[in-house]
Formats: sequence, structure tokens, C-alpha cells
Amino acid sequence: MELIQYNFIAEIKQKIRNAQYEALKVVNNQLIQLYWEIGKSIAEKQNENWGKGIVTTLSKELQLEFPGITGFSTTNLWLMAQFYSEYQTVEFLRPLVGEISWTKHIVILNKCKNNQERQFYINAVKKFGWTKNILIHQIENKTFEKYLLNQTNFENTLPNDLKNQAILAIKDEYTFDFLKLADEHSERELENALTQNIRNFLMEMGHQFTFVGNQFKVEVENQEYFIDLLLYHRQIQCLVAIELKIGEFYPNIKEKWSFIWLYLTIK
Amino acid sequence: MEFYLAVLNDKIKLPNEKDSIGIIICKEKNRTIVEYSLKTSQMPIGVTTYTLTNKLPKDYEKLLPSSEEISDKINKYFNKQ
Repeated sequence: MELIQYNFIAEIKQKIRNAQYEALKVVNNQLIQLYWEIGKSIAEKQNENWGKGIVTTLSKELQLEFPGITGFSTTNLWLMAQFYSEYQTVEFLRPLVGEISWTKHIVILNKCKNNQERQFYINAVKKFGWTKNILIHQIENKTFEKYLLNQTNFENTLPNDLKNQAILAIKDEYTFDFLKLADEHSERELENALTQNIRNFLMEMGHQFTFVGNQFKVEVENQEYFIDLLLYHRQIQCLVAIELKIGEFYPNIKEKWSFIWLYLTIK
Repeated sequence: MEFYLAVLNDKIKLPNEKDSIGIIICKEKNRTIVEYSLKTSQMPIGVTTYTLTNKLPKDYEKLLPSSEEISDKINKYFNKQ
């Protein structure tokens, strides 16, 4: 096949894929809207004291009428009612309802009770394309809290446009439980273990990070210096230098005097 | 860390890239000391901890910022691509 023909066919294939993807999004949106409406009806009838039995009957009737269509079990119907009741009053959650799949909504509905936490995870699923298992892992790992409590000075050191992107680029704590490292370890051992588990390491760092190098050498005036780990953040488009310390954080010696000075002035 | 960032910006950074950021990952940190320390730096730096076990997570509830602050962060982050 000639290149020109090849490109022509590739282009059409891409168009089909795009259309499939768009169609799937529309289908998902319609399905969630339907569940929302069913949830609404059930919730309203519950408020009119219809009793729980109606949901069991409804489930049976729906499965008889639409054999082969899953999603109408009693449990799922109750989840629809819960979904509607808990989200309908929250202004910032309603527009997000059609954005992710039902299975992921259920995970968030069950595991997160705080509405802002729910907003965070729905947005994150949409933005990063998390699978259900990754989503569960992120929630159990307290990702929401760890991003919100990060300690940086970006507010004062980054320009406005970057500040907003960097605001959730760093977590308060990273869990390196995939390293299988003993409690006693050297900085070098930690660094090597991280490099050898690069995939897990980058996933735990968050999204948009890529690996540039470890013990990255920079030369100044014929003197060599080494950066423990050097990453790159695709969204911010900047190098990210990482320094590992197996001890407690302490302001370094060069900064020590300005640190003490600041401490004294503030006190 | 400031030194490394200055060298990276001067010698390694490509013309299309933004200024470098530093992350110091320690075993432990005192939040107050970190706050003071970050104020003394003109370079963008974050101080975080690491843990090797998926032990019980810290009690984050008490530390979380106000609801307004949270929604401000979420909105800024997810609306800005």
C-alpha cells in the first residue's frame, strides 16, 4: 500500500474511533441520567411512605420486562435512590453526574462521605482516566487529604498561571509500600529501590510526572554535584528535583541563619 | 535545594520549559518548622514525607483547611488545564 493510501485509511480509522468514543460518552451520560431519574422516583415514593417492598417488586418487574439488561437489581435500585438523594442538593456535584461511569460513581458514593471529597474524585477520574481499581486505591490511600495538606511555598514563588496547576502536584505524604525496604535503610538504598520500581514510584508521585534520571550530574566550576532524582512534570512543563532524606526535615545549614532570623522576627 | 534549582534553571532547562521545582522527601517533618523554612526560600519548593508501610493513615480530619479553601483549590486545579 502506498503511503498516501495508508494515511487516508488511518485517518478514517481515527474518525471511527473518535465517533465510537463520543457515542460511548453519550450512552454513559444517558444511562446515568436514567439512573438519576429512577433514583428520584424511588426517593420520592419513600418520602411518601410507600415502604421498602416496592423496590423489590420494581426490580422483579423491570428484569422481567427487560431480560438481559443488567443494573436493575434491588441493590442497584437502592443505590440509585441514595445517589439521587445525596447529590441532588449539592450544587457542585450535579453537573458532574454524567461525567463518569456508574461503577465508579458507586465506589465514590460508598467510600467518600464528604461532598468535596466526592467532587475531587469525580474530577480526578474524568481528568486522569483512573480505572475502578486505581480509584479504590487512591481513596484508600487518602489521596484527597494528601493533596490538600501539601506544604509548599508555590503561593509566593510561582506565577499565577503555574500556581493553579502546581497547587495539587505535590502530596503531603507518599506511600512507598511497594519497595519492600527495611525500616533501616540508607538514602542510596531508598533511591535505588525507587528507581527499580519506577512505574510504581511515578504512579505514587501523581500524574504527569516522567523520569529524567537519578544521581543526575550537574557541573559548576569543575565541581560535580548530584541530584538524587530528577523528574519532569508534563503539565507544568518543568524539571522537578527531588532530594531524599531518611531523617527528619531540618532547614539546611545555608538557610539556617535566615531561618533563625525569620523565626525570631515572627516570634 | 535552592542551589540545585538555580543550576538546573541555568544549565539544564530548555528554552520552552518553566523554572524548576524542588521536592524534599523526608522520613518525618514538623509542620511548623516546614512552614517557617519555606518562607525563607525564593525558589518553589515542597516538603513532604514518605512512609514504607501502608499503616493507618495520619489523622487528617483535624488538619484539613476550611471548606472554602478546599473548593478554591479543587476549582483552580481542575478548571485549569
